[in-house]
Amino acid sequence: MNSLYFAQYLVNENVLSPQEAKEYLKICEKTEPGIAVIALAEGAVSASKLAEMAPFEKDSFSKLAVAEGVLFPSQLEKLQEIRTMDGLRLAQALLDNEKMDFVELGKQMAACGAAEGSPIKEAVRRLVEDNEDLTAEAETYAEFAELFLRSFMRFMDTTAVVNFCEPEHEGMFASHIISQRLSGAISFVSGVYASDKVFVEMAQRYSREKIDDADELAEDSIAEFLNVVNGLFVVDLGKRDLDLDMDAPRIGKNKHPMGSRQLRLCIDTGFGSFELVMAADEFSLTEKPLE
Amino acid sequence: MEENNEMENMQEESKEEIIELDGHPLRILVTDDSKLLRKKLHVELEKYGCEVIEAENGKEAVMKTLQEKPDGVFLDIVMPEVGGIEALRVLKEVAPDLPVIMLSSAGTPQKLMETLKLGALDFIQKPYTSVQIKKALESIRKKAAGNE
Repeated sequence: MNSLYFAQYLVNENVLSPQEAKEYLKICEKTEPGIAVIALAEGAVSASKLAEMAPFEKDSFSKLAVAEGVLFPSQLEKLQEIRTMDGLRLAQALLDNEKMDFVELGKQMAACGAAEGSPIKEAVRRLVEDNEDLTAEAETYAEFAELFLRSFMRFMDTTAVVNFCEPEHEGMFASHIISQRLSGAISFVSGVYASDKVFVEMAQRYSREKIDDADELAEDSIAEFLNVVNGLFVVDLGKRDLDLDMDAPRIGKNKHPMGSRQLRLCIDTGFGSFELVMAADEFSLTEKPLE
Repeated sequence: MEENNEMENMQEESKEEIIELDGHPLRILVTDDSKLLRKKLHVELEKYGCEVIEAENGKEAVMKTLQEKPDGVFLDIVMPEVGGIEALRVLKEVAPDLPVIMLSSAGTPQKLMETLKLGALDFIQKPYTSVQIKKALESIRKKAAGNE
């Protein structure tokens, strides 16, 4: 199973509503997957076998599985070494909250694994399909969003989904936007637009430093993260002979991004929501109206 | 007692090999507009016993190279004011043998080619790993030793 995108897959398939996904992402922050879920994802134990063994305490499964001859001790050892938890936290949370049983979970995991293409790209394509202004940019935006979220989940140690809701941040009182422009074979600008609270949490997770305020170090951390993602994007495009130059990241406080052919994606994470903004040209940052 | 031994072993394992040039620590100039990157790389380089100097942009990198005479330079490309490519060009005029490692997110084949033609010793794509930094320091030492 491509566990990294499990949450997005479930939202795309309407198994979870965007609101439910938001709730589960929060729960995931405090959830560690048990060996039963890891074994299911790795195909070491079938969903029907787990259903037959249930109910059992999450922590007692290992002992039970070895005692009943479902897993060899060597298999158990290997499963315990698996550290790529990603969507497995969500799988455990779905079980814990009785949203799914092992049979349903096994079915959804298998379907997610067999699904063609990236669920993130699919979500972006759906969001822009009715917007004729974005037809030319749709694939670039989908590709960038996929790379951005993959990097985001990796560096910020969290699960995230593209929410199908309209951005709700118009009323944000204190906010930051960090943007970076690429130019050359194509013109593309990406930006991270977040409330100061989410901004600081993101900065802290990326830098692994203690950051209390949306200060210079926080801005620097998010700018460096965006710079790294854009760098990977530029390298990918370079392989297709599309040569791009990167400008230095730009920082705006308490301003709205306004770009041409702009797409604002609402991203939900376990520690809050923010926007990934993409446009064809540099954003003009407009003052926010007073609250 | 066992606990003490374990602690000693852990400390032993975390010690990195000191990379020296003719008995003195390597002097390394880190050039990046990101304060976070400079801070992280500073800590990483100190693990190998390096003396670290910092610069925020290409202009400062050239000035500090002339003043501080580093053994090697880590140089970002995308920086405000004077960028890394321009700085590399000037560095190679004022200190042709100075080993320069490009450390940038913009690692396209075109940029790689351009910087290598200008005389960069190597190119590391961000995010870097500890292994890449150690290898880069070894290359700097080797090149600097050959220059002496």
